[in-house]
Amino acid sequence: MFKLILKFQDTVIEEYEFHSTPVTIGRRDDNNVVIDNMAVSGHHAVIEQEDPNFYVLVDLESLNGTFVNETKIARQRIFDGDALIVGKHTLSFIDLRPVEERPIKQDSVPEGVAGGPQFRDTVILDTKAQQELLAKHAGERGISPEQLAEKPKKVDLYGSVTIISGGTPEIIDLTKRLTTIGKSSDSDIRCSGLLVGKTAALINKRPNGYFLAYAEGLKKPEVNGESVTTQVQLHDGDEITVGSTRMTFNLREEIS
Amino acid sequence: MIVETWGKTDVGKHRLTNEDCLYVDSEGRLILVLDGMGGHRAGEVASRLAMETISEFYGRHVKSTDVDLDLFDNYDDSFTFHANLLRQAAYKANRTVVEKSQEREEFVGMGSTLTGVAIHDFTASMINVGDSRMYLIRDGTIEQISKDHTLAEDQIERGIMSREEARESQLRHILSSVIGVDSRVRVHMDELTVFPGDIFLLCTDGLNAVMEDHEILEEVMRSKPGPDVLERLIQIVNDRGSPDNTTLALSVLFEENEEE
Repeated sequence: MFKLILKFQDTVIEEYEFHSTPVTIGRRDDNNVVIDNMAVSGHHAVIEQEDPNFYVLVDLESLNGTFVNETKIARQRIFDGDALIVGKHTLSFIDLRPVEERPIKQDSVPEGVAGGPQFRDTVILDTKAQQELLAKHAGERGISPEQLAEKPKKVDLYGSVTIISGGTPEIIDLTKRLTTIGKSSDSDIRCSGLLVGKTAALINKRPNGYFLAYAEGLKKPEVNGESVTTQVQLHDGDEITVGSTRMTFNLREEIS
Repeated sequence: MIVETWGKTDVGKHRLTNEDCLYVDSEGRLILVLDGMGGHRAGEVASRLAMETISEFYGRHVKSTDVDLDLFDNYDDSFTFHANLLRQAAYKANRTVVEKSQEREEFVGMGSTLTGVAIHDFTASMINVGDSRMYLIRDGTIEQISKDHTLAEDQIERGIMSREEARESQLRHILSSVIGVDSRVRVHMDELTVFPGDIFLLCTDGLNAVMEDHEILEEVMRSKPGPDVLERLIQIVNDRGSPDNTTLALSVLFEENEEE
C-alpha cells in the first residue's frame, strides 16, 4: 500500500493511493498514473513488488529516462520519501505500510558490475533544454553565462607548399583535408619524373598537424632526403621531393 | 587496397529489443553503425530507416563522375566528394526520420546515432552523429576518429570540464546531436590517409559503456583481426553486464596482391 503525489514545479496535481502492483506510469490513457506531457513516454515506468517487502521502480526504456532522487535508474528499490522523476514531473513516494513492515533503506548498490560503470541509457534533449542544462552545470562551477557564451580558443593550422623546381613555381595552400600529389591530371599538385605514381603521395591535415603519406608508384616521396614508406608528420621548412619536383612545406599557427 | 569487414550485434542482458543497425556494402567499402532510440521499437524504426536512406543515397551517387552540386545542401571543398556525399546522405536520413516520426504517436521523439566510413583512393572518409564511435587502430595504438556529440564533450570543448571528469559525468549520456529529432543536425566529418594493416572499429555505446579504449585495443591486438575479435569483445561486454545493445564492425586493410 503506497501513495504517489504527482507534482509539477512544486504544484500538487494529483494524489493516488494503490493497494496492489504493478502500477504503470506514462503518457497514454491506459496507465494507472497518466501524465499528459511530451517529455513522458507512452509507457514510461512501472512500480513492482520484490520479495520480501520491497517496492521497485522500473524504467521501461523511456526516451528521457526515469530518475530517483536525481539519479538515473533502470530498476531500483524505492523507499518512503523518495522522489520519482518522470519527464518534468515528480512523484513523491509515500509508503503507507506500518513502519515495522517497511524495508530498511540501505545505500543502494549501483546496477551492473560492482564498482563498474552504472547502468546507463542515452537521453535526447531539445536544444533549449540542452542549453539550460549546460548553463546550470557551468553555473555550479562558478562560470557565468557570459563566459559560457565565449567560443573556446583553438589553434588553427595553415599549411602550404611552395614549388621550388620541377614544376610551375607557385604556393599551394593546404586547406583540404587531403591534398594529392602525383602524375594524374586530377592531382592537386602535379609532379613529374620516372616511376612517380598517379597518386604518389597525400598530405593529410589532421587536428594535430599535417602528415605526408606514400600512396603508390615505385618512386617513394622524400622528406628532407628521407624516403617515406608510410607517413611522417611535416614541420615548418621541411623539403618534400616527389620524382623531379621539389617543394617546401610551411606551417603557420593562429589562435582564434 | 583490399578491405575486409566483419560485423556483429548483440541485444545485451537488459534489453528486450535490439535497436542497433549495421550495414556493410558488398565490397566492404561502406560501413555504417547506428544506435536507435525511442520507446516501443521506435528506435528500431529510426535506425533502420536512417541506415536504408544513407546506404541507398551513397550507393546511387558514388559512381557518378561529375559532381552534381544540386545534390548538396552545402558542399565543403576541403573534403573529398565521398565525404560530402556521406554527409549529404546523413542530412537526407535526418529529414526522412523527422518526417516519419510525425506519422504516428509512438514514433514521436525517435532518433538514431550514426557512425560511418567510406574507404576509397587511399582514404577513409568518415562521419558521425551522436555517440557511436569509430576508432583507428594503427601501429599498436588506438585513436578515436569520431567526435562524441554529448553535452559532456561540449563542456570539455568549453574548458568547463576535464576529460577525466567527463568520464564520470551524467552529461555524457545526453546527446547534443542525433538523427531524426530536429530539422537541423550536426554532422562531424573527417578524412585520413590509410595504409595496409590499418584497422577500423565502429561501435555503438554498448561497448564504451563497459570498456575503456586501452582495453579495446588490448583485445583487438590479442589475435589476427577477424570475427574472433568481435566474439571476444561481445563476450566481455556480456560478462560486464551489457546494459545496452552492442554493435561492432571491424575493417582491416590489405595490400593488393600485385603479382599476376
